[in-house]
Amino acid sequence: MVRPPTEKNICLRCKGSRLLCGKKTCPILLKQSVLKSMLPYEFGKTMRDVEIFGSSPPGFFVGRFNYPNVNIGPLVPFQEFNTGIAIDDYHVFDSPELWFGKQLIDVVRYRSCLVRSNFKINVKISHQKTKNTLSLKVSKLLETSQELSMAARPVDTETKLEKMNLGMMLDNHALPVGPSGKTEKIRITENVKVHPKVEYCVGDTELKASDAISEYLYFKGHVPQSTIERVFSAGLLGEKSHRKIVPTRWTITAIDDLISKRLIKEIKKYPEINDYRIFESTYLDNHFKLLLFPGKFAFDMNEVWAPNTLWNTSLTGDNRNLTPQIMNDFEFYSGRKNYASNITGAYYAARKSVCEYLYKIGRQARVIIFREVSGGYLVPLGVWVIRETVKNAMETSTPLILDDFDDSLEKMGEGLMVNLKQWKKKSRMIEFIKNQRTLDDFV
Amino acid sequence: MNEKTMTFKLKLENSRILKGIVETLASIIDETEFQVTPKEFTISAMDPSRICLLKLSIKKEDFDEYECSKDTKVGLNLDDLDKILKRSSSNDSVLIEFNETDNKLKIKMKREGTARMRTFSLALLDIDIEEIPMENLLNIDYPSEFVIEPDFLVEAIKDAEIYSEILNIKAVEDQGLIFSSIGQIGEMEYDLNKDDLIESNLNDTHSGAYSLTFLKAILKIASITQKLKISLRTDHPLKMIFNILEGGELSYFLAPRVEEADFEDDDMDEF
Repeated sequence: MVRPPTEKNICLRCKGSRLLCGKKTCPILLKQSVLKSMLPYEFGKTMRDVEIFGSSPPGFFVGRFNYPNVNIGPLVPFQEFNTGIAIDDYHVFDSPELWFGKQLIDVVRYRSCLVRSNFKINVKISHQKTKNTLSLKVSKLLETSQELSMAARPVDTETKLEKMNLGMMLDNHALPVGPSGKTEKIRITENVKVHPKVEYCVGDTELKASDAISEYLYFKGHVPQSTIERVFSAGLLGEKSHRKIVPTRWTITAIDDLISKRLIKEIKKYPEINDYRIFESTYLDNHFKLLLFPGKFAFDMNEVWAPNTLWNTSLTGDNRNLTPQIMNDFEFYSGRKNYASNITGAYYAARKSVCEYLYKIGRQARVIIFREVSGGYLVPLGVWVIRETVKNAMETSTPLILDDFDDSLEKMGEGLMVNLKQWKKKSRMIEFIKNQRTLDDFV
Repeated sequence: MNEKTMTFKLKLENSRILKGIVETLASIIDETEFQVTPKEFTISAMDPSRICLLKLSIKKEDFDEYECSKDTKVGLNLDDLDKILKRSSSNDSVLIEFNETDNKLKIKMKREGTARMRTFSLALLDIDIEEIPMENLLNIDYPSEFVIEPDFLVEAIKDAEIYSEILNIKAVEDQGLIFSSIGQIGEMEYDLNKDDLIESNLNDTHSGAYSLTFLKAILKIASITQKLKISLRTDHPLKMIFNILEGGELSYFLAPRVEEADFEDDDMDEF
């Protein structure tokens, strides 16, 4: 990610008191204050010999550090935390598809009460060599975690941690993760209910992961995306010898990509839309404007982190010298061959929601997205914010219908902080349409 | 009815040519039509965004066997055909047969000097192909025309790709040809003087900017062509005609890029 140079140690000098970073609240403080208000102990401390029993949403997290020897662990709510949610509704904790409209504080609270009970494992679980070297303890832990990850409803789970670190991990792609500790044993104390399609895909060791995800779980099973992510991440999908544990952060993008690619395949068979539609939605200071217009399927996404937001900060608070950093990724009809490295996971999340809409209305279109992030998005919460906000824009807002490309662009520019000129300069699709002639101009 | 049923039979001793061309066409469009007349075989493809157009035509004489009694059109999926043809090795002969009654295309491959025969059939598609307005494009008057080795263009495309998405082509009267590309990291220039051109007829200065995304499609066919005739006219489609090694020609039209004046407006607005 390209960002303007910032001076180091800014937070050290500030320590949350002078807000040198220019944000409304210090993100580091926020992490602590939320935890403090929630927990009977202090952020950053450790607790020893903690016994945890609770209803896992179910949740399951795989770290990406030290790959391929990663930390994996089921998420179990700590009974001493006041979650403010009825036990029957615990599935909400790990189901971002239900979170649209929730406040930032709610999301942090959901996640901070889940304890990650880790153990270390090599991702190549089906590899003969690895399999033989797994200790009995680790293979038992893996088996329990996999069983848990398949569950369709919250599962009563027990675990014991020698040491519990009361932290919180934030990531741009994955959901925030709360306290963690090493576990020796995890026990499921009730029968696990599994969605029939999940059971089918896990059982079929000759079914490719991509087919399992898009055909069976998504199209036929309507399995919630968070469940697909968990099962895939736990190494339960795909051909037997290829199954492996996948870090949660990578899983999310992989699933968004697989599903939207499958949808695009169908969308390309549909007729083009015949008008210009502008959709809009704002959530957690993420402002989205989407333009769908006639043409064969193509997708262009632009995002800007306004000066003085999470990833685009000025030391001095003097934002006159900061220019908006618009990032762009795009694909034309033939699709992408490499990773959308400028926008990363958000690109795939947004594309998935747009494709779902096009599939639903049975049309194809060219799509331009503007995403503007402003000051209130204090901590990154994961790409679900993008996926759900775009989905909300397409499903609930009434689009503005226009009949001309230039007029539509004018409308797209309205209500954004960054001037339309800047967007026009960065968007590959706009540049392409403006400058590339078609053969029709010459016949 | 006295009229014969629609049917045709085409044979090439070497599958390499057809393989290369179908692969190129498949990268541009999903479905197309084979048009077979008693005189020639043609395939045309226009990309979905209507920016480039390819037309392959191979005359009856250039086939090793050619039978066709009546104009015939069959729609098919190019990706599938590409997969089938990829199964052939370069010294296989390919025989393409169509018989109206079974509504399938049959592709027969036979290795040189052996009697083994592999037969593939491909279901035809009922497609509605928009008439491609080729005539008007062919009527464009081009003031600058020249013939080069296809490899020169391949080099220029690959060089330009380092810098940007655009290849600029400029032909200057009495001098020659310049391929260039400018990007953030620098720029490249590839000069060909008159001696490097096999034939040339250059008038005034003509130049154009063309998208590499589309030019890259032709990289695959450079190895099966021997001469390339390029026609250039400022702000008009680029016209290229490739002579295929064992006969036939491939025409390619690519719409230019034109920088809009108001778009380059560079004053930074106050944020």
